[in-house]
Amino acid sequence: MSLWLRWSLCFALLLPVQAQSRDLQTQVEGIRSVSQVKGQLKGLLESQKECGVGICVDALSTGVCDLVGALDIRVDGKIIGEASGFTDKVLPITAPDLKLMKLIWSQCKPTNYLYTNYPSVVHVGYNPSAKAAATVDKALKVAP
Amino acid sequence: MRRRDLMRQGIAACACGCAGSTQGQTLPLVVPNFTWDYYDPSNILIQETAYLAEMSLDGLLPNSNLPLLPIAQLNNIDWYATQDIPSLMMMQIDQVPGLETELTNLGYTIPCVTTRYGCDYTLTTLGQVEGLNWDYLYKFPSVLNLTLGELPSLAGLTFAMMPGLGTLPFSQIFQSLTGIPLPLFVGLFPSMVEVVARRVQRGDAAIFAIDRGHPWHTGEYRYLNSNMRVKLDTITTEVPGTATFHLEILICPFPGICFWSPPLPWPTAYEQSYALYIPPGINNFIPVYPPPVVYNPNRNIPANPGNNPLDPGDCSGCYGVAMQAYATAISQIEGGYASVGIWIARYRTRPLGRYQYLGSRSDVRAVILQNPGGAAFLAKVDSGVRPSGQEVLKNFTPAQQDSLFRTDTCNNLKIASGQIDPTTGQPFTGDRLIERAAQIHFSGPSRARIDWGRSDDLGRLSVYGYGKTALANYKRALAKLSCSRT
Repeated sequence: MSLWLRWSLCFALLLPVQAQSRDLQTQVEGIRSVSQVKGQLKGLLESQKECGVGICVDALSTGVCDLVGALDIRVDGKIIGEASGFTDKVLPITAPDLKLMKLIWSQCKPTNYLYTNYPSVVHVGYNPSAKAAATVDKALKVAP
Repeated sequence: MRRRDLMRQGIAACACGCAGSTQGQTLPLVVPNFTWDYYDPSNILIQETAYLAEMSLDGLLPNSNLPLLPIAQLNNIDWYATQDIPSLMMMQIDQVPGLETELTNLGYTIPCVTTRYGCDYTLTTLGQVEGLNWDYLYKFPSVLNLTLGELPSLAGLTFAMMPGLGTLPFSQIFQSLTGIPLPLFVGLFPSMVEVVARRVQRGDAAIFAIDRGHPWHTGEYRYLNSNMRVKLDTITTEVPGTATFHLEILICPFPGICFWSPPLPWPTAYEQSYALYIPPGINNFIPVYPPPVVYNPNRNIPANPGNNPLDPGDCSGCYGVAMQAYATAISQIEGGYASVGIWIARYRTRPLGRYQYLGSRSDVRAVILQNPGGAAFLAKVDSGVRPSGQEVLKNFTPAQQDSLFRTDTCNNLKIASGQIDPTTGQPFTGDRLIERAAQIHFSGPSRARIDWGRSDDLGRLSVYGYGKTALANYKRALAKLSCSRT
């Protein structure tokens, strides 16, 4: 991921709460534990296997990265490692889970695919290599 | 009408002096290889060909039955408001037999014109009837029975100004005007080359030029004669589309030794404002093209779902859903016929075409394999190599995409109609049926994902949101079809 994009993504996550949409704020504040996020990620990845069209893959991929980005706020920037201090209650995260989340985040790649469905041209989606996908699927117990 | 007549009228305008034109040379014409599988030229609309769209109707009057053509026989007429028929509102009511009765029956108040003999209704014009401007023509059979020739000020009108003429397929214009089926590609418009942009939603799905009704893709040559050829280099995607060309001349310094010159300048063309003259060759020879696809005059009769390509104005569908509008709705979210999606390494495939079906789908693969070269194309897609838009169009043709979509959609609607709408406790119907069918297109038929993402973790684009967007798009598209008003 290019530096400017990493910065822009991080900047987006660092926007003042009142400048963000209520949905996004709710999403971040709705995270109560890492295991909850892992369950949601599992659901997204299993759903993605049933996709028949590109937009389905794209939306669910974006959902994966959104979730990890949101979790990063709640674990005080330990995943992305760019910023901290944006949550009142820092959630604990184990080393294996942190490693897993970092792996997922590393597979979040910028794309302008189907940009018409997003408020900006570029967004990020979880588009892993085959090796990374296998590792993540195994860790999350994603059904084949 | 012969070509020279058209040229006299300026239809076959020669751009920038036709520097490359060498009509009459005796060298044999090299017939270029035309591709045929991209787009059905018989469906190109008049309004998409600038020179015809802006052509004055009276230019055709002496040679056609245009003045005798009843308005009602304009196959593609959108049932626009009466005010959209130029000069119709200037007509006096008594000039339209039967109109006074129709107006009265519909509850209109016909104002009278005061004369020295009293109140005279016969002098009242349509424009003086309050509220009539906004009513649709189908309410007034008497108006539809008017012929074009009965409209005041017909001379000076253009195709583009007449609803129903502008939206008439290019290939059918003479059939409509004369009543005689006359294919486009037998020399009526031998010199037409138009830059036409086919756009889908906000993006540009596919851009190409039209040479005598045939697609002219970038990188292809058209031969002015055996010694001169023009290559279409680029067509840009902005609005209006811009096409750049270059000219090459065959140079033969010695007998038997010939080569094409380096690129020479050729005028840039702009969408809907340009025609390039390509002469027909010796003895008025015109290259033989495949027969055009015959326009379906019964386009409003429901077609057999799954078999026929979608057709502009087609109101056929499944479960009461107009397929043309629905396809438009989905493609506005997805892409165009030539769209190539991202490489999805996890599934080793790419989304392809107007509806962005994954290339890994068995039904998609079965369709593609029907085409020569389909297996090689799939191998290319599976390997991660990005195919070009042209390759998609060749191996997963628009007709195949539409046919697959129609079948798939009918199946989705069938599934959706058998599911229970959680908001009502009843089976999905009406708008919700459309939403749910779109949701299934998005994320599959699982009941667990009905309205999924309404308030949870799918990010900006949810199953629920997709259904809502598709429905909104559908309604907008449907409003443009005649079936929405009948």
